[in-house]
Amino acid sequence: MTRRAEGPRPPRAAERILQLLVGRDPRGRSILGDAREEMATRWRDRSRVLAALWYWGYVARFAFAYRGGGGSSGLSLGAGIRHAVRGLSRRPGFGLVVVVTLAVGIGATTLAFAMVDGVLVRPLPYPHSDELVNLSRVDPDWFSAPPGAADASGWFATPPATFFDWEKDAHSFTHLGAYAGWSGSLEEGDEPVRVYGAVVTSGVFAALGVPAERGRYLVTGDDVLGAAPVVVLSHGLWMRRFGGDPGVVGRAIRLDDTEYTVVGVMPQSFGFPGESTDLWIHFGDSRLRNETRSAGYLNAVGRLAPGVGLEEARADLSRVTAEISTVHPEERDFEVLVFPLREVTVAGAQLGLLLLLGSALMVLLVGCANVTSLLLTRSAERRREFAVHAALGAGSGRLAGLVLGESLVLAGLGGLLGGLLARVSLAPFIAALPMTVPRAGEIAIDGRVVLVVAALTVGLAALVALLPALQTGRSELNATLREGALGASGGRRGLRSHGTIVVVEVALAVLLLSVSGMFLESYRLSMARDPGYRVEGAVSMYVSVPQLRRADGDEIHAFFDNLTGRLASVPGAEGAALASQMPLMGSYSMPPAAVETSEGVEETILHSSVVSPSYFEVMGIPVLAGRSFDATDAGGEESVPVAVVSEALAQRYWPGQNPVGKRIRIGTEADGVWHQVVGMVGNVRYGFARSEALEYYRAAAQYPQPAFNVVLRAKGDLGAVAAATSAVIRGILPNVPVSVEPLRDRARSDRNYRWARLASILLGGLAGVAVLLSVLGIYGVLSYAVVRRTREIGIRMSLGGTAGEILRSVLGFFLALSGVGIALGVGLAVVTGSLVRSALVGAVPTGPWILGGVAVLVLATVVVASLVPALRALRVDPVVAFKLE
Amino acid sequence: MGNKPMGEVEHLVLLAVLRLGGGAFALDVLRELDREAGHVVSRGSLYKTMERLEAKGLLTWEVERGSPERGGHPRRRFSVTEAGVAELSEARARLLNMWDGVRALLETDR
Repeated sequence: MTRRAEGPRPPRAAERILQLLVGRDPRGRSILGDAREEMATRWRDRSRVLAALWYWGYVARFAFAYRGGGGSSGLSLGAGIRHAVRGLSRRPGFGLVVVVTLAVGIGATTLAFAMVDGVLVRPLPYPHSDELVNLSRVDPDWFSAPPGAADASGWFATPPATFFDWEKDAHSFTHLGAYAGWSGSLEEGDEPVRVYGAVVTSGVFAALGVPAERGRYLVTGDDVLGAAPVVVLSHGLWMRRFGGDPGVVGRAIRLDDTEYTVVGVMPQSFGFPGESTDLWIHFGDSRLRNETRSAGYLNAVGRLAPGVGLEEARADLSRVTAEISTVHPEERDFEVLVFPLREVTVAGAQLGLLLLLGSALMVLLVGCANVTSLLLTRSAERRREFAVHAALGAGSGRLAGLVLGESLVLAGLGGLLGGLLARVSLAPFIAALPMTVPRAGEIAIDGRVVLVVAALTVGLAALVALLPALQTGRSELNATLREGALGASGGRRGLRSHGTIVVVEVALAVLLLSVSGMFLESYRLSMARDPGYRVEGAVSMYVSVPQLRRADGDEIHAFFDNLTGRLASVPGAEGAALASQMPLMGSYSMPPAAVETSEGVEETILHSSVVSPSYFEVMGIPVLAGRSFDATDAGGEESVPVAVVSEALAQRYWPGQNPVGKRIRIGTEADGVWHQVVGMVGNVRYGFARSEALEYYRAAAQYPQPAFNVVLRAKGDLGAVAAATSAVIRGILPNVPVSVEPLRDRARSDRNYRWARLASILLGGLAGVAVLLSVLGIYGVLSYAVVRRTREIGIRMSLGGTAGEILRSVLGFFLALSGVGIALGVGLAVVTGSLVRSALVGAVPTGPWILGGVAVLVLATVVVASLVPALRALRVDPVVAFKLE
Repeated sequence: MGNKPMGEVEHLVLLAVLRLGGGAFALDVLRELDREAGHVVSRGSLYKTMERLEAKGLLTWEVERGSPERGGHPRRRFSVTEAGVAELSEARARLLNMWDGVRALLETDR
C-alpha cells in the first residue's frame, strides 16, 4: 500500500542505469523525475507491463542520445559503449562469435552455480537449521580412516534401546529424534499403492521445528508403547491420494492392514529424511522396539541446545555411551558420530557438484581466453584508428574506454544469453538428476544466482578487456603511426600476449579432457564389469504380504510356494525364486555375524540374503562348490541351519580351503545361531558402483518372512511376461500393490548408474566444448600471426627460404607453446587426480594411460588446427607481400 | 557571446520555453515542440540541447520540489536569460533578412 502512495516505481535496474548516466546532482535527479512522471502516465493509461517496457526502452534510447553529463569522467565508458554497438553492428560475425562463446561459458557456470548454491550452500529449509545435527552410531572398525560427515550418512544402525538412553541422558540437545525408513501399501481409492515413509519418534518433528500445515505433527504421547496408531501425511500424498481433502485430519486410513488415524498434514516444503517421503508413522508399535543393543535400524537427528557447540555435543554423547557401556558391555565397541545435518545430507553430492562447477568455470576461462585473443587481434587492427583518435586529442582514458565499452557490451550480451540458456535448461536438467543428488528440488535460478552471474559478467568484461586496454593505453602514438606507415610486420608484444593465451587454452583443455576422461573410462569399466548374474531375461518384484505378519512359518512357506508355482507357469516363464535381498532391488541387510576361521572366531558384518532353493539357478549365479539349498534344508527344531557363501567371502576368511563344512554364526555372541556352509556360489554386485559382496545366503524355509523379492526368469517379450505376472499377483493379493519390472530396466534406474552416466555426459560435454573453443582460439591466433608476418615470410621466400624453413618458423613457436600448455595441463591433472578419483562412483581407472592419451589427442588437434594457416603462409606471394599496405 | 549561431533545435527549444511562460518544465517543452512545431525530439537530445544552451548562458533553471508521482525527485523550471532573448531576436533578424525577397520566388515557383 505504501507503494500506491509513492506512485508507480520504474524497474529498479533500469532506473539505476539511468542514474549512472545522468548523475545524482539536481540536474540528474530532475531527469530521473521526468522519466518517472512519464512512466506514471503510461502506467495509469495503459498497463504496468507496458510502462515498465517503455521505461527500459527509454533508458536504452537515452544512453545513445544523451552524450555524457556536464562533468566528463576520464574514462569515457558511455562513448565506448556507443562506439561498440556501432562497430559491432558493422561486424555482426565477430560479435556473434564472441557473444556465443561467452554465453556458453556463462550458461554452464550459471547452471553449475545454481546447483552448488541450491544443494551445498543454502541452509536446510528448517528454522535455525545450523543447530541441527545428525547422530549415527557406528563401529569405528567399519572404516579404514576416521569417519567424517560423508561416512555418517545413511547408517541406520542405532538400536531403539540405545536411542532412548541418549534421549534420557544427553544434555546438549533441546530435542532428539530417531527415524527409520518404512514402506507399505496404502489402501485408499480403487487400487492400493505402495507408499514410502518413515517411522519417527516425536522428537524428529520437535527438533526440525516445522509446524504442520493442517492438524498437528507427532508428539510425545504418540511414542508411548501401545498408543493409538497415528500418521502424518506429506503435502504431496495428501494432494495425490486424498485430493487435498480438508477433512482428512481425523480420518482413518489403512496402511499394511493396520488402521491409522491421520492427525496432520505437513507443508509442501517439508521433506524429511528425503524429499519424496510420503508419510510419518508414530513410534508406538511394540514391533518397532526390542532390547537388543548389538544391532539397530535407526538414525537420529537432534537440535543443539542454545550455546552448545558440536564438540560439546560429541563429548556429551561419549560420556553417555561410556555410562551405558557399564550396564551393557556390548555398547563398548560403538561410537556416535555427530555432524551438522546439512553436511551429512549433502556429503555424497559435494565432490561431484564442485567438480562440475570447476569444469564449467574452466570452459568459461577458455572462452574468455578466446575472446581476449579476438579482441587483441581487433585492437591491433585498430591501433591506427586509435592513434588517429589520440592525435585528435582523445586521452588514453578515452581510448581505454573504447576497448572497455566494447567488451562490456559483448560480456553483457553474453551474460544475458547465457543466463537465458541456463534458465531454459534448468528444468530438464533437474529432471535428469538422479536421486543421489539431495535437495534437487531446491535448485533454482533466483536473485542470488542472477547477482553472481551479473558480477561474473562484469568481471569477465574487465578480464577480457584488460590486455587489449593496457596495450591501447600504452601504444605510443608516433611509433604506431610510423609502424603503420611502414606496414606492421612485428609487434612482438602482441604475439607474447597471444602466446600466453595459447598456453592457457591448451593447459585447460588438457585438464578438462583428463577429468572427463577419468569419468568416461570409469563409466566404461563399470559397465563392462560382470555383475555376477544374468540381467537379461528376468523380471523382478517386491511382494509384501501384511496378512502374513502374524502367520507361522508353515503358512508363509505355503503361500510363497503357491505364488512361485503359479508364476512359474506364466507363459514364457522358466522359473521363479525368492530372495529377501537381491541386486537392484534397493535394500541391503547386514546383520552382525561371525566367521569361524583357523585363527578363531572373527566378529564381522556381512551381506546377507534369505533365498529359496532355485534362486541361484534363476538368477544365473553359478554354484562353484558344494550344493545349493534343497528340500532337506527345512525349518523346524531337528533341521541343521545351513548357509551358502559367496566366493569373495570364502577367499577372505578361508583362503585356499574348501568352504563346505565351515561355520558362520548369524547374530550376536549372545543370541546368534551357528550355520553350516553347504555350498559356495559366484560373486554378485548389488548395483552399478558396488564391489563384489562378501555375502552369505540362508534358506527361505529356515527363515520364513512376510515379504520377499520375487525374480522370474523368462523367454520372449518381457513386457508381456511382466503384465501376466502382475495379473497373477493381483488375483492372489488384490490389496497389495506390486510393480513388476524387467531387471534390465531396474539396472538403468540404478542411481549410481544414472549419476555416473550423467557426470560422464556433462563433463564430457564441457570438455568437448573446451577443446572446440581451444581449437578455434589456436586457429585464430595462428592465422593472425601468419597474416602479421606476411611481409616477413615474403622476404624469406624471396631470399630463397625453403618451405620447410618457413613452416618451421611459423609452426615451431606454436608447437613449443602447445607443448608448454600440455605439460602444464598434465601437471594440473596429476595434482587434481586424487580429488577426481574420490568423486568417481564406479571403477577407478589408471591415470597415466588416460593422461597420455589426452596429451597425444590435444597435440594432434593443435597440429591440425595450425595446418590451415601454416599452409596459407606457404602460398604467400612475395610480390603481393611487398605491396601490402 | 562570440558563439557560432544557434542550431534549429536550440532555436526551437528557446522559443518553446518562452511560449510556455512561467511554467516551462522539460516535459512541457517536449510537448510544446511536438504540438506547435511538429518536431519530435528524443528526451536525451532535448536534455543535451538544454545543457548546451545553459553552457552558452542562454537558458537557466531553478529547482522545485517534485510530486509523489516523480518519486520525490525534483523538477526544473526553465527560463530564457536576457542573453537568450537577445540571441533570439538577433537570430530572428538574421533570418528575416535572409528571407527577404525569397517569398516571391517560392510562390512563383509553385
